[in-house]
Amino acid sequence: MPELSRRQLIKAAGLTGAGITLAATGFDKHALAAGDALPKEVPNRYWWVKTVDKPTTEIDWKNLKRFEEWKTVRGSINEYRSAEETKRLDQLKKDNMLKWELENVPGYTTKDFALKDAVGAGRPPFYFMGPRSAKTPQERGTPRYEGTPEENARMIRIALRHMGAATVGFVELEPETTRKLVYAEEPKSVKKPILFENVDVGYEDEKKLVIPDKARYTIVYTVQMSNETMKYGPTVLGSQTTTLSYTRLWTILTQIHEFIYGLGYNSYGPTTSNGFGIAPAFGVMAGLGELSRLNRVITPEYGPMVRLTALTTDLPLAPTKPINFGVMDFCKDCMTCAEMCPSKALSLDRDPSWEGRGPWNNPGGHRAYYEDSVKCREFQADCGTNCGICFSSCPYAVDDDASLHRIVKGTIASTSVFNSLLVAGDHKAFPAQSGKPMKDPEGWWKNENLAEMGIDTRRGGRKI
Amino acid sequence: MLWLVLGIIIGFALHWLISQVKNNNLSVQWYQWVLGVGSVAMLLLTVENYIGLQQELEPIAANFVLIAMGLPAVILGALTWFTPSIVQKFTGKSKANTKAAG
Repeated sequence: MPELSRRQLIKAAGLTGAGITLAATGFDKHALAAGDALPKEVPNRYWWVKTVDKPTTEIDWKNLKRFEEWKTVRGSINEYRSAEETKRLDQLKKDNMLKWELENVPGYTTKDFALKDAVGAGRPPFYFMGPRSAKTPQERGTPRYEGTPEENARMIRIALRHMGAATVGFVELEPETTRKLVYAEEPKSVKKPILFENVDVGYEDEKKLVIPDKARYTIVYTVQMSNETMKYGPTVLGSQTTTLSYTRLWTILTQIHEFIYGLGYNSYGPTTSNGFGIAPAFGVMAGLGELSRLNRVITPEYGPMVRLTALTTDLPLAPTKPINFGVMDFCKDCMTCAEMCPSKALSLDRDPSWEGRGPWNNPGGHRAYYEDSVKCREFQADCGTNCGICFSSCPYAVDDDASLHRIVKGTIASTSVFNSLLVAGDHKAFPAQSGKPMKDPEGWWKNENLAEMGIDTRRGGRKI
Repeated sequence: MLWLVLGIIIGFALHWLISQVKNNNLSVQWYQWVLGVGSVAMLLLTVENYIGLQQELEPIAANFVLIAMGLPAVILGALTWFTPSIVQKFTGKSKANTKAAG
């Protein structure tokens, strides 16, 4: 080794310091910012997410009507196909599930069935206005909480994140526009009309659900679904991701009802699963994501790997605006979900349409990639689950450890020139086969180091 | 930790390179520096994404990135080394000849 002079040593130290400085760009800037004076008052968002006045989904508010939820295939599937077909598909599902469990087919083994039922356990009951068991400020002898709409929105967002929500947005209900996203009637198991009246406190009786006009501040929130576990769809193992997400969604719903009640206000929400309002529509209007070819919300942080719900309150909340990060344009070129769909239920048209595919759609009010939900249900009977291949094959369905995902999403948000190339790259990097899991379900059961609930809860906020 | 180690390696490598250039009177053109920095940047991106995708339990994507990003990094590195001789072949004269003529 050659002898170093003092000059050379200092030069080497300087260059090493340059290297260490370069290395420091990889440090978590939030960890280093611990000494900053004030926490950020708005949620972190990627630089390529643009706030817009109008959503990227075209909406004809004049023609849009409030929809009866029970008309979707969830409530009315038997109206959209023959009784014989329903009987055939029910028997097919039963036979397949039994056969595959007996044959120990990966993803359909006894432990997969047990896990799916387990993660659906412990859900709280639904309450239109929450359990109302928290102590109110009045009961404690103090005035109800007061804050500006901006302060209230921040408070609700922080509380919801702490309860386990991923992203949170707010929509103000206007009678001629956003109020139309509230269902006219709840799902089939309840089927009560939702009415708005000029009362101080809403109520539920045997015939109806009443929301006061002043309860016009709607909270919309998402929970993450495990991107990793969804890749085992359409098996039972993959589908338990959805089950677990809904368990968390409804648990948080009860908690946020109680939080609002504990502040001295009232809130009104779903009375059953998928109730209250069109969740993807609220998600779009609240700026949580964009509508997409798979007819669900795609979020900048988690792609389609979320479930959403909404509730409304008389606690004043500053609304959040819709966003544009290139999804609707990307979906025109991509088509991956529609091509992978085993029952070809999703639209293969390049552009979205004003025309629905059947009475299960809310027609005429918005331009979307409407799906043939009856065909979707056919494959759900065949595979025995809610499938989810459209979710898992979506190029946005990625985790966040590799910086490449942000580079790709940022590129898509900035220009559509590379869309086809990026889609081709996605197909090579994340190969999918229609109707089959993207990964071996038995492999999931061998990994004891998977993340809690299969998600990274630092995504979307602290890691941006 | 990975970036700390990589940063230290880059620091020492840069020092060694600059020493070699000075001690051996090597002529390094500006475009070689640009290509070299580009090559190192692509290589770092490849390493970061390979490890990230493995952490995401996506080995196929990780291997794809080795080719899709690693190959351009290697090509840029090769260009850094070979560009002067390509330029010499193309122009038919070297810097030394130009210097002698001046």
